[in-house]
Amino acid sequence: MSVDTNLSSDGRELTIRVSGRFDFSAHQAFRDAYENLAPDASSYIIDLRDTSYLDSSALGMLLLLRDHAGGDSAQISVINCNADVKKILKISNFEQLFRIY
Amino acid sequence: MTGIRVLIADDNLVDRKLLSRIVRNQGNTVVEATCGEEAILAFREHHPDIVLMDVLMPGIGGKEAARCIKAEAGEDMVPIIFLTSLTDAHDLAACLESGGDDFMNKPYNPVVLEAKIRSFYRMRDMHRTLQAQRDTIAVHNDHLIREQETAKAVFDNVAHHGCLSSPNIRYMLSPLAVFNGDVLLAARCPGGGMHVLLGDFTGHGLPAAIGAMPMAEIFYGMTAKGFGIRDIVREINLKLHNILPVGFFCCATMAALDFDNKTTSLWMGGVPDGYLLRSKNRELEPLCSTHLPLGVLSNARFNDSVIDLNFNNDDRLFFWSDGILEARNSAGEMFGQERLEHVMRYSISPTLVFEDIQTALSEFQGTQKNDDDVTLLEVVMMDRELLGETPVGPANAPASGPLDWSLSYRLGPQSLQTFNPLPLMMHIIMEVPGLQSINGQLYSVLSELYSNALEHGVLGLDSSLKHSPEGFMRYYQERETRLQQMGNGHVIIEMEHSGNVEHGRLVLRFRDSGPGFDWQTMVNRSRCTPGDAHRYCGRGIPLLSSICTSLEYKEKGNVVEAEIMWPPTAEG
Amino acid sequence: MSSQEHFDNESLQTLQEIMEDEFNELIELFISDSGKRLPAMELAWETRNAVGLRMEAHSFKGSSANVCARELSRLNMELEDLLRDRTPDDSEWQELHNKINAIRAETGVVHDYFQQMLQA
Repeated sequence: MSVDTNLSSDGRELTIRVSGRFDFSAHQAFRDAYENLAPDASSYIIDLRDTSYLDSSALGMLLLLRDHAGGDSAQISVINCNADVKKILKISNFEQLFRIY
Repeated sequence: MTGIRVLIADDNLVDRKLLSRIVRNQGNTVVEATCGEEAILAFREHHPDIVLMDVLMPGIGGKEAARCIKAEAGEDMVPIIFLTSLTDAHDLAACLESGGDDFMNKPYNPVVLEAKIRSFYRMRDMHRTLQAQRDTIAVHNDHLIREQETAKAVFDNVAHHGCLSSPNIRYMLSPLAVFNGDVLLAARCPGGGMHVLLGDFTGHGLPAAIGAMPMAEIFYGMTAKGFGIRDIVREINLKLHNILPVGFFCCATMAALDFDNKTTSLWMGGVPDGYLLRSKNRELEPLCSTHLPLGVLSNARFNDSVIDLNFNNDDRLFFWSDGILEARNSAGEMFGQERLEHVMRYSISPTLVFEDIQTALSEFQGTQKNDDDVTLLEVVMMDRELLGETPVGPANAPASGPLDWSLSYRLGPQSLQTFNPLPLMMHIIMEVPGLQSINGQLYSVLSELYSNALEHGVLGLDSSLKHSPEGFMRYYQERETRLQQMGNGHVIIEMEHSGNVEHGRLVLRFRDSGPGFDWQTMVNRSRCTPGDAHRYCGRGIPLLSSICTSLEYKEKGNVVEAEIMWPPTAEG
Repeated sequence: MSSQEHFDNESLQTLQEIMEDEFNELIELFISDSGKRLPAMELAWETRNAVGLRMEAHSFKGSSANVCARELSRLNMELEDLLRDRTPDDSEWQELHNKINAIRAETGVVHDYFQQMLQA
């Protein structure tokens, strides 16, 4: 598991890329990514191109990010989901909360 | 530091004196022994931190003494440094095998000796810390296990007065499921129906278990008071949203079964697909979750809409937590949806599906078997009579209550659209001690009269629609549409009670704003053909007349009055 | 006499520093202890007790090393080595006695040196 971040030049858009298993072990790194590295970001892209698996604690982490990013007004896209990951997000009906591609 | 206590065992007075001096000079405390036996005695008496032991001594010698001391020390680490002028490798090896930790060659080098003593003392200190931590962990673990047992007992008291043992329910649930976040609840409704809830909290352990408590409380409390599935999921969501930290939630399926109308209403949030297996033609209908899990959304954004389905006798619902889908075999593959679907499709008989899933799972997991996280539920539709008694309501009600009272409660359009008055009405009626034993029947009367007043009276729906299963679904769609479009209309509920502590009389009167109907003709006709009563009063009428002392329509047919005498007569 | 042949003078000085006021006592203990070693060796030799003789040599080797009597310790080590894992024959026993005599002579030298130190 690793968490990489990339902040747009104006500091407003933060991309967080999670590789490997997105589970509880990513908790601290994921949180650090948006809390400490980019406190001024207003929109977020979660890039899951290298994410093999996602469990319910990862869903919890996404909800935490959503809360941090303003709750209902949060702008978060979850992109490059593989079929398994997409299925988990779909089962949980997370497309009602996030833009999922 | 004066802390290090050193035992020096050497038969040679000169060597012993020299060594003792060196060790004391370094700030340590010295205990001396002149032979192996003395060394063992001194060890017992003084509990030294480190032992410096001559190898060749009269009597049992250094190696044997070292063996005894190590044996007596048990788990404690007592470093033994052999004092030797031996040079032969085999001799040195023999010293280590007897339990020695290191050597010190004569003549002694004070700098090396001090370094060795300090280093072994640090090691012993570290060992003690580890032991203490290990013991603390063991104590904490015992404590945790006891706490979990207590918590489980408390949870069982809250959760298991339900009706999971009903003949229409089969389930597989780990004994400590509450600590892996799985919750299974079932309860009979006062009107005779049944509510079942399968929940899967995020996470494990206490954080997962903690949300299960209020969930069970709300589920049982509201079900007993006659609330419907939508009110209950909404209330649970509100509660969990308020108490759980962001990021924690509960994936859940709740089903409400109506044994009289053979329907089920489902609310599914964040759960894997469930299935409805029809007894007729063995059709398999997947049931998909359409909502977010409980606890995620605020009350304002929460969606309590349900799926209504026909659910005929021997039709089966299957639900599970994601543990079953994620169960792995030795190759690390997951059991998955396809395997489940295959079992459901190709079992010899629908009645065997549940066992077949268990078997298939067990075979799939092989030696990896770990059922701890697997929760599986089957709910079957059957006739109400086969389920046994509906449990009676609150057993610990007060012995005395209000006996002479009346009320009139008027519900306008907005209330009719959004509010279910039955729990409130039941709550008031249940204050009368003598009525508590028939709360289920009373709920049926209230619910039947209220839906007649609302659906036929105010909304003008034709109950003949309900005669076919397809019509039944259409009836409820139509009901929903008319309700939302309703501009005016009302239902007035009047209740009167009189009596004493031994017996009493309850009158329920429902007055709706509808046009009424020609009840006199209907009643006259029904005397000849009792079955026709169903035409205008729904299917509950036979039940009503068995409970009510009298049941009369009044005025233009928009008023109905039921009288209930208690205690109920023997045949009632 | 050059003490360098008999003693590790540098270590002896360190020993003196370590023992401070107890140095004299230690040396006296050594003199009395080593005085008893030679009769014990003689007895072991007369009774052809190889194990006993070796134990004495081993112990004497250690204590003389500790008081920095380098040559005395070396002679004892030679005696110990001659007895290691074997039973000497008659001619060897004679040779062993020569070694004991050498140890006795060296003990005398060490004693004299220590006596001088104590009186100084």
